[in-house]
Amino acid sequence: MGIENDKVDVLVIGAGASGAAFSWKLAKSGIKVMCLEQGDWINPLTDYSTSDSDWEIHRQTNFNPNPNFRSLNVDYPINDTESPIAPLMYNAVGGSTIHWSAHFPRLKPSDFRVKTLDHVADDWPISYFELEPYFDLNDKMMGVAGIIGDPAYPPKSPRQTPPIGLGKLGDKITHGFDKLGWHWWPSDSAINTVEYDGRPGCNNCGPCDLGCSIKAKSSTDVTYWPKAMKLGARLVTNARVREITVDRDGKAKSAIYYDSDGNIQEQYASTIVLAANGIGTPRILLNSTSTKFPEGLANSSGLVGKNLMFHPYSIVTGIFDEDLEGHKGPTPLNIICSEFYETDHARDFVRGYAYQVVRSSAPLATALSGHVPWGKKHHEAFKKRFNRTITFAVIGEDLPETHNKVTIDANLSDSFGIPSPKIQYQLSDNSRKMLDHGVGTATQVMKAAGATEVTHDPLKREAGWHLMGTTKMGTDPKNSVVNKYGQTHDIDNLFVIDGSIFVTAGAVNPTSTIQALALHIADHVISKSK
Amino acid sequence: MRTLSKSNSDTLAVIVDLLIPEVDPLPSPSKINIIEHIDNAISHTPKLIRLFVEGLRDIDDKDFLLLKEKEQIDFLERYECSNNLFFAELIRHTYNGYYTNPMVVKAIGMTGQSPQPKGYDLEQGKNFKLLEKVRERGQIWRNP
Repeated sequence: MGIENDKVDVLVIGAGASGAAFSWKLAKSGIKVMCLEQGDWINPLTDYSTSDSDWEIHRQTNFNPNPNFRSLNVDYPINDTESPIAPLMYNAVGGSTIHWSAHFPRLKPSDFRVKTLDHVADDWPISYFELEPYFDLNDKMMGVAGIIGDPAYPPKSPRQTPPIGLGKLGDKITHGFDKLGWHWWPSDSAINTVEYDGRPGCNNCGPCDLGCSIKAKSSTDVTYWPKAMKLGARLVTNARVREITVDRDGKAKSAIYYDSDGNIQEQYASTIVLAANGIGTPRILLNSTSTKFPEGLANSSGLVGKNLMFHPYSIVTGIFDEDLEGHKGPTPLNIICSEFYETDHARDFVRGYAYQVVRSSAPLATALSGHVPWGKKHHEAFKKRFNRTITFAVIGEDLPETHNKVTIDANLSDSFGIPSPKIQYQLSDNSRKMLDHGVGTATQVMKAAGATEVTHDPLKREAGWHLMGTTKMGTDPKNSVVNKYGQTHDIDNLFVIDGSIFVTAGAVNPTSTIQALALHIADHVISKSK
Repeated sequence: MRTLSKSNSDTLAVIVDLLIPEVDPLPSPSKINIIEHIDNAISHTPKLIRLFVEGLRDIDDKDFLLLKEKEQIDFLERYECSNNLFFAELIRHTYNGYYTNPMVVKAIGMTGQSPQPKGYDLEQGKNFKLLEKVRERGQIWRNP
């Protein structure tokens, strides 16, 4: 083997949303924790493009959310040719919170009980209310903008900063909801709207997905990590984990990784924790084969990599006949509609969906929207849409199905030769019906708000932001990979804390729930260490 | 780094001005250095270099520059169907250069500045008061 390193108490793999929260909590309790991160630090002042004139082009190149297009040295390719949805992620300290839009809704109480309530999938072995103190703690650490009192949720603790401004565009669309009498609410958002925790308020520049150079957006490189490192957590960047090894007793022993120079390193730990996202985590487990575990680690159930859930999105865009100043303010307006979230047996699908409101596209994105032709009608078509569109992202609950999965591709690997993942995914009939319903109701809101024209994309391909379900949580080792503490059923010193452990997906962005789970699991690891 | 020949560039200048015609106050692409932008953008990717050089040579071979404007447009419409890969990249890089040019960005009604460091003033909005009606409807979350 390569260079061997001193043993640590806990080794975390992945420095994104969950790895950061978990490492902070452990460091705070005095546990010796080290984190291996595949990517590097990003310097918000120099590495983001939003101060450059060509900032929009970076969405196609080094800030493309799709690692197959971005192809940075720290990325690994993903075979997604058998999926209508492309998986998206970012590899750096902060993980995908670097490029996220900071939507921060929690899963709802019913999301944890879908079997009991709707006779589909499985219940979670944990409830919303058990997680509630961790949601609250995480909100304080990340800083959440919003307003309490949303009737689509149980009462919440006060939000850290006021909600993101509606602007002209928000005023326009909320009239539509109001006319129909449908639910809307300023959704929780991990963006400071005023100064909080030493970071400034948002200056409404727009493109959160390209990174926040002023640190108003709460990516974990500017929230959890500075605090965790002050408390003694060690973070090793450019550390690309190849596999986890086990000892003679079948316990997790070490992680083997390539350092930035391509040297093989071996890091020993008493406990190993995977936080590499819903694709990266099963990739590592499935790549960790041995005579004792020929099908990969923690895989006695055969479910590692199975039950992959995305949130399938339909995109509905309304065109309005006035300038809505749609480029001002964070692109995600963070209004959410939960009118159709819960199951309604009168519909032809089970579970439900939400919409998120997105502001107008910037100039280049408008031109490249597919609705602006070249030639004599170019300017007219551009003018019709620029700053005059409102978009709904209809986000549907994707139910787990074992044929939707992550496996290891026999012919694809990253630049160090580590085998890459392959995604196989089919949109279910239930999800299709759900999204079609969503397109219909979203169109009604647009028209009620005064849209002169409404277009839609029935299934957005570049929308696999949320990667869930691939090491499912549960009580039965035959039907799940980890228990309610993220501890694998097969190996008691191996844990998973990212979106892989979701039992079901809900119909909201998962990061708030991922981090609350990570803090909950951290408490368990701390209590076991005493 | 230059990839395109003088002949390639001359042909491309005519094409990009047909893709995005000049309309006051919006300039034509060729007047704001779109050719140089495209040349730079493709020059690091061998696949794109091949696509552009072969595509433009193909167009040149049809005496494109000798055609009248209407004939050139008809030709490009046909060519878009027959060589969609090249044409899609041509449009993408033309739009990329055009809509990130500060002169164009200003002409379409923005400040002409990049989003940072100044950002924008955003009206808070008048409709937060409508939330009272949403609240009055009462609980819609399902208590398991």
